[in-house]
Amino acid sequence: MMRGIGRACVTVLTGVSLTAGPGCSSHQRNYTAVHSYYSYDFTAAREALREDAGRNDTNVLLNNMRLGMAALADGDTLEAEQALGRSFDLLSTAGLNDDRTTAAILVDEGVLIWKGEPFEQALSYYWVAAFYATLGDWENVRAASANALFRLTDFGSQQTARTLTRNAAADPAYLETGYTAVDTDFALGFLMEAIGASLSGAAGADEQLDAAMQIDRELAPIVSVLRSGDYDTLLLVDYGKGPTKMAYGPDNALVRFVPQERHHGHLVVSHDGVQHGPFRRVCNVNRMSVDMRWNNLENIRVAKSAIGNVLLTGGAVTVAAGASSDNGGAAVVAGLAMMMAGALFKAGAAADTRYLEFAPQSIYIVPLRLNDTGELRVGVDGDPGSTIVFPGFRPGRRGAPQAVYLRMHGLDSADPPWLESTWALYGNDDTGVLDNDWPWILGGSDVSTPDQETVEAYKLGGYLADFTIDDLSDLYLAEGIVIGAGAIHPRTRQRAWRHILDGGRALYTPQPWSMGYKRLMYSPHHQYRPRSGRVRNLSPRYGIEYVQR
Amino acid sequence: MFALLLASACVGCSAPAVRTTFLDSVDLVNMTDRMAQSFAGDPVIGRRTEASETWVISIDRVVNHTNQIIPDREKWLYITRMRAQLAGSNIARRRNIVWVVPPERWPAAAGELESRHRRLPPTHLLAAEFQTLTRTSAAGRSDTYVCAFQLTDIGDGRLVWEDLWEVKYAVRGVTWN
Repeated sequence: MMRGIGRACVTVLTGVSLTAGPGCSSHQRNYTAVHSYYSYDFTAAREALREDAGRNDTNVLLNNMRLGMAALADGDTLEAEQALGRSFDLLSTAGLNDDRTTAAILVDEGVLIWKGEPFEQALSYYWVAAFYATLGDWENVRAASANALFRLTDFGSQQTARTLTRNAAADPAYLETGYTAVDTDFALGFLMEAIGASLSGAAGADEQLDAAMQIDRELAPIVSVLRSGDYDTLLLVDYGKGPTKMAYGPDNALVRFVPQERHHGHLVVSHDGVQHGPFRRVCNVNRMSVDMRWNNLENIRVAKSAIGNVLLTGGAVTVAAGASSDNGGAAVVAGLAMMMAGALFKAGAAADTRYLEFAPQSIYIVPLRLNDTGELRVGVDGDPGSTIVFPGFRPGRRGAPQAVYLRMHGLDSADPPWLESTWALYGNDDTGVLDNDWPWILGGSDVSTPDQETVEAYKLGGYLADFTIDDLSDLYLAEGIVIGAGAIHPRTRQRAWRHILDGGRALYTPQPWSMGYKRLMYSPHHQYRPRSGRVRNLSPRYGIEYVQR
Repeated sequence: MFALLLASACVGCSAPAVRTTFLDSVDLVNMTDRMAQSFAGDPVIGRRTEASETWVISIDRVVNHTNQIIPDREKWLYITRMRAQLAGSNIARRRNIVWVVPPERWPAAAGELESRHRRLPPTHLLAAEFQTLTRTSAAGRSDTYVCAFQLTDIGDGRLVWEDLWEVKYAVRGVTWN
């Protein structure tokens, strides 16, 4: 009988190890995307994420947020709207994990659809709002921001993970009933909702600004400008690397957010040499991430691990007692069941460390009155490598400001030369054709999409004298180049996302004043290599001899 | 117990379902059908004939005061579908109504409306405004939508026709889960 029980032990424990194995295989961090993102290569980050974001699995929200944030920084409004729109729908789904919670407690929290900690959710709504701000769609800025202002669960200021766990162990209902629902302290959300409401003609802007001031009195200078409406430019700046999520404690069952970068200076802005500010940040992501009110799952993980240890210990005792008695078969089986359950609990106790790696450590909102076109310089005090320069920046106007989203990395990231470059190397749909220029695929430096104005400009410089728009479009077609202009003609973008300057097949202009636009237009790219005989034969007329490989 | 554990493990990687309190394509169809019927059945519209003075109705955009993201192209869908419904019922010819779009929409609306009419100066303005009342709690979230359509005579500011469509959606579950 004992041999039979021994075999049963092996069988059951093998089953345990198999069952408690990896539930989902896609919870690895996407290091390629993260590395590209923090190297300012948002295009490469998007490419590393696109396939994952299209997969309808438990990481769909996380991957779409990552993709949307990279596309927002890259100035691709089409992909940003698609990815952030999908994220918004999932974020707004109440009870997204209702039917998965039991599985999460028993097996692995990774079976949960990633929705992020509450602070990540609020920030995600902010980035949706920031995206629509860059489009000047203030109604959707207000709508997205309103969703970020959900109430928080407050278990008391003295609570720690340990005391929460103790309380939860004593009272199983504690996590559901032991808190007070409190108003949010997300001042950034109130500011954005106020901006959206004010600029879209909706009511409530003053009340939202009052709420932001109640949370943080030091916002007074910004609130004052926003209340007056006297600004033509709105800078939305994400700076630095946000906190990382780490597992720790027994069975790695606990998680905590740990700051990765601590340097934070004021935002320093100048326009044609005139200083504005400095401006303090309006959101400290490091601080949000460690605030218990902005976290909600840690307690369950702690409880799981504790229960696992108890069951394993109890099960082993029962098996031993059963095996040593004459009629211990039932006890042995019960003990094995307890051990199996305990092992499963322990296997599942390993914490879910998925998080939004693209989150910054600091967020700035800066309304400015610039009046005229000029050189805009933005950087963080104490980090000269973060400075970005936009020569010829065109402000909006009062009531319709030009919103600019900037993603600036911190001290431990590279600072590529294009950040501060003031010399645009390529003409495009925003600049128009530069003097005496012609298409880049024919050896020139213009990457405008073909239209009547473009062709006329080429002719004025003495190029393509016998060309019509159709002729030029056919030339691009022969090269397999997809002509589009960002969100203006989204259908023509099809699946060609990478720009021809970057070795891709898309001809379009990223959103001006975006990081992607600056990188693409202000850094040198390899000479174009034609695919078709038409371009190869035509290019010598313009002084270019392509070498066929 | 083993069955429970296995069943729990199997929940694993199934696709998430989006269950929001937002308006969707079904609402778009229901709302625009209802509004087109209301417009066509209105006594003021009904009294008009082919011989009446031409009404040039400019399709204005939808104003979104809800807590739902509605991209610009979707806002236009709400009114262009209503216009298309009315065009399908031949009411435009029988009531001598011409539909136009604002100049900023001319490039996007190319081919959508009769080009000979597109640049006529409008006599009336058709607009829609969506409002919502959102409630959230530990039990879930509900949104009550009121979508109001209005036709205004530009000449004297008179409200010629108006109607509204209401719907309420609720979902269970906490918003942060």
